[in-house]
Amino acid sequence: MHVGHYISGIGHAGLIGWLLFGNVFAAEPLKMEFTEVTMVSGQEWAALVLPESPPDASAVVETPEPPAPQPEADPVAPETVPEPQPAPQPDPAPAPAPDAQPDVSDVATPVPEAAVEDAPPDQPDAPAPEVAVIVPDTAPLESIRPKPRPASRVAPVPVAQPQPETEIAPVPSPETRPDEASETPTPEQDAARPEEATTEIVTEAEEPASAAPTQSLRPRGRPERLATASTPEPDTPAPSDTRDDSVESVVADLLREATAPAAPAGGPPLSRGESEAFRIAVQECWNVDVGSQAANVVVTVGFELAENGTVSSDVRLIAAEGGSDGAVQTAFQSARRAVLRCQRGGYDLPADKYETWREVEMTFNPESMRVR
Amino acid sequence: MMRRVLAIVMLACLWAGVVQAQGGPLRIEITEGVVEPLPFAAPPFVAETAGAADWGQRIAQVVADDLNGTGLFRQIPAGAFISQITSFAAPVAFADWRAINAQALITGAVQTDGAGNLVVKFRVYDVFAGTELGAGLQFAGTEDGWRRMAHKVADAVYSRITGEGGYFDSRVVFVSEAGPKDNRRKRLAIMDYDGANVQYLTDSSALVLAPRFSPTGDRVLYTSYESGFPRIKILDVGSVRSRTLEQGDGTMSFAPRFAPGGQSVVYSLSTGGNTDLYRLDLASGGTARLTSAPGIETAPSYSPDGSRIVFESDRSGTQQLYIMPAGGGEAQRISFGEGRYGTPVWSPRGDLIAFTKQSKGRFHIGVMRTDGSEERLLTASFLDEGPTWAPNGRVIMFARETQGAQGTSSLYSVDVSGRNLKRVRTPDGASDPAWSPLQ
Amino acid sequence: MTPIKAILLSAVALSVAACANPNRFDNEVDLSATRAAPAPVTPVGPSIDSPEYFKQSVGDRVLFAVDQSTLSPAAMRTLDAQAAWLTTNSDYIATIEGHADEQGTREYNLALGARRSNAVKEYLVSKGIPEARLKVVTYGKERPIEICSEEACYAKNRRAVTIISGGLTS
Repeated sequence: MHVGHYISGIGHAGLIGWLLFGNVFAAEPLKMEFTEVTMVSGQEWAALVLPESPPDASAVVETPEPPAPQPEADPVAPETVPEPQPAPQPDPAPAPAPDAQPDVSDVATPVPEAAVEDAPPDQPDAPAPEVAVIVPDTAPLESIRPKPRPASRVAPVPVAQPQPETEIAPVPSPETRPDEASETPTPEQDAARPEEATTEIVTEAEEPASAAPTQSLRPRGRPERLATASTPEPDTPAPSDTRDDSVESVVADLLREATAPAAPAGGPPLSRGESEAFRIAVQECWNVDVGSQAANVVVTVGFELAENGTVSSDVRLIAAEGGSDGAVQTAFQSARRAVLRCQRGGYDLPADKYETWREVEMTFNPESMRVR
Repeated sequence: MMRRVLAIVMLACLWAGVVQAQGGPLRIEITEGVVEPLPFAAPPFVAETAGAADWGQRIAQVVADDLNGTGLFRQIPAGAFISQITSFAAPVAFADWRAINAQALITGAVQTDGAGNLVVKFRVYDVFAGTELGAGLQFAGTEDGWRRMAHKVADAVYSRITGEGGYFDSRVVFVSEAGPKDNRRKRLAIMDYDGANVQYLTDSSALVLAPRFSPTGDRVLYTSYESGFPRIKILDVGSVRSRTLEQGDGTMSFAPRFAPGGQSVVYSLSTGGNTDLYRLDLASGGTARLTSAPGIETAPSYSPDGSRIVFESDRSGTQQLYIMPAGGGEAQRISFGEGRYGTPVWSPRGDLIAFTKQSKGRFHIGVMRTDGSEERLLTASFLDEGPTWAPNGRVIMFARETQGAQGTSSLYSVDVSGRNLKRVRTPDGASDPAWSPLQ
Repeated sequence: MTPIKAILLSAVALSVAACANPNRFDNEVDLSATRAAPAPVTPVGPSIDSPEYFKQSVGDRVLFAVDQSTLSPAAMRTLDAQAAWLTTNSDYIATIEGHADEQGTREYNLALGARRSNAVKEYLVSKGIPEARLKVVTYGKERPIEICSEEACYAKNRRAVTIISGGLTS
């Protein structure tokens, strides 16, 4: 038993070491479709990445800050909107301001494509327009959490927020200039960046300090992944790692390596590892709005892949189950985005089995992610 | 739970098996995704007339703030943009926006006529699919109404991306609070959903409580102590004029709510120590008693179709939630968890009921299905109470009071998934929020 | 009755007894810091038929257990004294305010305050005070006299206060 632990520990340490110092640094060039990324300047780069850093006063993007003007990071920022000083309002409402219920009736029914006349003067007779803005929750969140920390991202695999000291090295893609890289833990344009993530939504009520006995958020994702990982069938090394180098995908690669079947198999069928890797590659980009009606819809989309693994056709809706038309459309768009976004330079599939994956039908089933 | 996980794993294996099969397309099932804000770009709206540039920036910013505030979207700072939008009509260079991982792109244009009128138009693109979501839309109005126009743009964008109605062009009526706990002054106030444009509807000479909007947002019901006793008043938002609704002498009434049609009001009336629910027809002034249990029946809320009323009652010994037909009659208890349940509010979608729960010395805002199943608690604090739904049934606003002698009350909002808990900044303390319908 | 309840009730009974103490200076209007502290009765007190005397010496309030509106024996003794005073001073009317502590939702607490004020009213009526001289009002948790978030304060806020005012003619 203990020996097992030691072996496991050594193995894990090795893995972590490899993650940190091995593959990540030595990785092959990112296959990026859009090399224009290089045009991002150091300053812009900083602006880009800022929002990803933990509670930082200048993190304008993640959560709206108090009324303070936008930091310099955002050159286009206008004087912040919710600013007390009134807008350049010319003379007091030239529009025919009806006294009774002015606010509600006027713009109330904007007709698409058609001009809506006179926008409402906001309550002419009401006193002192004061201004307030929505600010992030400043209430102290109590105590230690044995449960996943709340993060704005919920992903199948938990990703710890990179600690400053940890210095997770940036992806040394040929396009990324090293000087800026050193100050940026994670590249923004990489959709699979290791952003902080939990495996489930942590509501305030579920924190241990609360006496909330009833919660119905299931622990999903992680158990499944663990289950997959815990039954490895060490076999042939997987195809070389040509995908991006984010922690997640490295994990995925590891998984694939671990689960790839033995036979070198020139034969057509994809190995479990190969199809798993494909699945994982797409799910990283499948963003599910768990509180929406679309989260009740299972959609199947079809598309074709070119030999280099890129999507070579339209992504089309093949089937949908559950939900209104609007919800189906939303679910479809979300699935389409997943397929298109995560292809990057092309899905990593074995070229010798092209015929088996030329056509793909992919089903997106959010059942296990739904909150209700 | 374990079984479910197992099932999922087995499913995955099954699929893996299917994959091995010869012929036909490769079939993959994705059962896990991520939950994260969708990155979008909202460059300043293009100025199509002289002097419109400022409006273009402001409007784009309000749109972006609205979307950011949902927690479902994340604005990409303009500093990251590779290309700019300089013409509303020109084709979009999708590659430039893909490169910065903008999944949605909002472009717009503003025209001014120099006489205080604005025209705003916009388009939404799915960047990775390289397609437009819906068709371009245009709003016209006055400069005074620029924020509302921006909210309308944001509502349309939200709706096209999420497939659900928006809630940005809406308002909140609430009780503005000032002063210490033992001398708290309260007055009614109204503001945009995002806290902008606060205006006061009453002064603080008399205690006011728990306002509620009419279904069209033009009137507000509330409880006032103007007479020295709690009485229901109705206020016209436009003229800010109010009147007391007829009630018998020696009684106290509170907790008024409009019926979905807006023609009648359900409320609590206390007489002889017993509090029951009544309905008042606004046109005729006629009343009907809906409950007659000896306990406390209060905090009613109609189902969106007007057929049922959910309310709280302590007839079982503690505060619990019940549903009865709108005309009164037998009530079904729907809350059975540990603790006390109060202030039920039926979701505008009709599928959920939000409530306040007290358990083990803490307060929670939670939601449950209308049959009481699938209870989920979204918040926890010393004192959270009084949930109100955004018009699209997606977000809940409530009041949170802090503990102790210096305790104050503020408004908070939270996504129905429990994410994105945040404070709504108001000029003073605030309580008893009630969200308007979409305007 | 659970032990906790029993303890609570006895605690309440004690505090009610304290409240009924004629020596207790408990000024409803004066919310200054000294309010809670019993002050010595000055030899020159208010006249026996004044509302001030009622407030200070008869005892103008009774306290309740958590979420309850039943009158404790101590509360009844206070109310007996109130009834006696009201019987003697028959040209005064009384408004009974029901209050709750902050641990509850707003509207429920209004109803709870109504219950408490009504419990006092019914007791006074049972002691012969005409109903016409008694009004009830609830303030729920809106008018605490103690502002800490602890049971010591809550116990004092769960109250019904009898306010003497005007004459019957007013």
